[in-house]
Amino acid sequence: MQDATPVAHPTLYGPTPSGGVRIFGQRCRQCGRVAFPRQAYGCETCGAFGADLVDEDLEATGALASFAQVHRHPGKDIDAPFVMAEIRLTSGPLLRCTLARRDAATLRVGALMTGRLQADGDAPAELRFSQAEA
Amino acid sequence: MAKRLSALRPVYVVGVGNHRYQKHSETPYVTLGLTAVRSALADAGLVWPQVESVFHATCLLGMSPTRTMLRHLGATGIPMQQVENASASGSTAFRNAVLEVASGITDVSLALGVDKPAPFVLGASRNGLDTLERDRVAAFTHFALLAQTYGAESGAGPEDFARVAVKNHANGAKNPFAQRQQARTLAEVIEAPPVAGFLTPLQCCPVGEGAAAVIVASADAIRAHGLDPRRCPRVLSSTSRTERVYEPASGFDAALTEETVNAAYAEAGVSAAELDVVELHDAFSVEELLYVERMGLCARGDGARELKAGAFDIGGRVAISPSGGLLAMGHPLGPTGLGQVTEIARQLRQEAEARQHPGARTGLAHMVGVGAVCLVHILRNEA
Repeated sequence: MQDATPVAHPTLYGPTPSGGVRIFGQRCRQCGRVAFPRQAYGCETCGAFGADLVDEDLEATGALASFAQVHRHPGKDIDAPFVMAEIRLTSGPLLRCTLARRDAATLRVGALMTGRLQADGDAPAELRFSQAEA
Repeated sequence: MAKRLSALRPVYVVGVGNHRYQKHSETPYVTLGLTAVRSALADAGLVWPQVESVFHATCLLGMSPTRTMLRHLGATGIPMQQVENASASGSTAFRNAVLEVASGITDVSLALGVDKPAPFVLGASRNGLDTLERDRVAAFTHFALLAQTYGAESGAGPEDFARVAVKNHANGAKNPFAQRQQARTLAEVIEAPPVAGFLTPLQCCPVGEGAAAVIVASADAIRAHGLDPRRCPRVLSSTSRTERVYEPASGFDAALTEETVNAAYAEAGVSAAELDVVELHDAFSVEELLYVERMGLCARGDGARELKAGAFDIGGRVAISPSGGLLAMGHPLGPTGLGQVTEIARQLRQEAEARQHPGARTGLAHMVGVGAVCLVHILRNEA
């Protein structure tokens, strides 16, 4: 990656030159499955591996499939409350990821979501999703 | 050619025993296990030298804890092994014991679950792949996500999920082996601060320690040892499946449950309508609503309404988790799937006392485990 912006998961996503984010996915040349994360072990649908799994950058846009406001979190990497969500990417894969907002009050399933890089203080930037601008 | 269980010789549950599930204590695992095994032997009317093999379900005791526990029954030299399959470890040990007797390799086998809480690492965390969520999706958050989806599809709200916990705590209050033996009101369940999404603490199962033992045997052994066949329900099916790629990807627990239960119905020749008692994996309240629908115990989207109407109470159309389920009886990992079988056996023998579902004849035990795996067993008292 040419960009020096430190990200929390450098094998999963990275910045684009225009200031956006790309998600590192892959496509199976045998069955067509688009999958995330990128891996060389083999396709979960058909078992193809090696040269049959080709890198494909995925757009960080999709529909909100589910969400849950987390009130208790024993880990130290983020303080509760925060919102975990399932986003169905337009390209197919379902992601479980953190939302930019900390409160789930007005969210609704089916809303169009977009991802961007967001940093808490000095922490590396992470991919977080927000409701797309109308 | 591959065979169904029904094509092999019949297998019966002949003895069951428990050590109460409880919070982590100083009690050695040996004491937990021996209590359950001696209780199961006494229940069956067998003595230890008549047991020919052992499958011990444990997730957290460490390497090879079995023989050093069971030698105190008299070291008879029989084969013993540990079985680990996440939350479904006990169900898997039961399946192994059932298949060994069904195949004719043994006449009497013991499936035993003994566990104590301990730090652990999920194997998948070492698979070499990063994840977006890392440790941010605790088990309760996974099921809070499923609850949100279920609520959006069915219209179910916080009170509907909480009623599962109210029913199962009421059942657990009648079960001397349950970790939580206190009935709870809807207000007590729902007014506590949530952990994630709709879920409050009493809608999340306690993970403690305990033991459950189930002895299975052939018809030959029942005759040879003079056991009472009226107290020996038959194992009609044993099915085990793992997660596939489902579309949509959300809610694999329910999709995996549906296909595993359907395989069990087919193997047993039993329909959902014939079930009298069901013990299912209600580690979190939403699961009961998801699974009763996917098991065909009510129409899709009707789970909350049927629960509220009492259909799943003891004495209702089909008693769901009369033991208290994972929510109240508890979920000590290795024992849990076997604790379900001890409850179903007592129900089918009409020996469940204050929590007896009247006329119970056919029962189903269901567990899912992280990974994901699913095991289902159907038992029937044919006497």
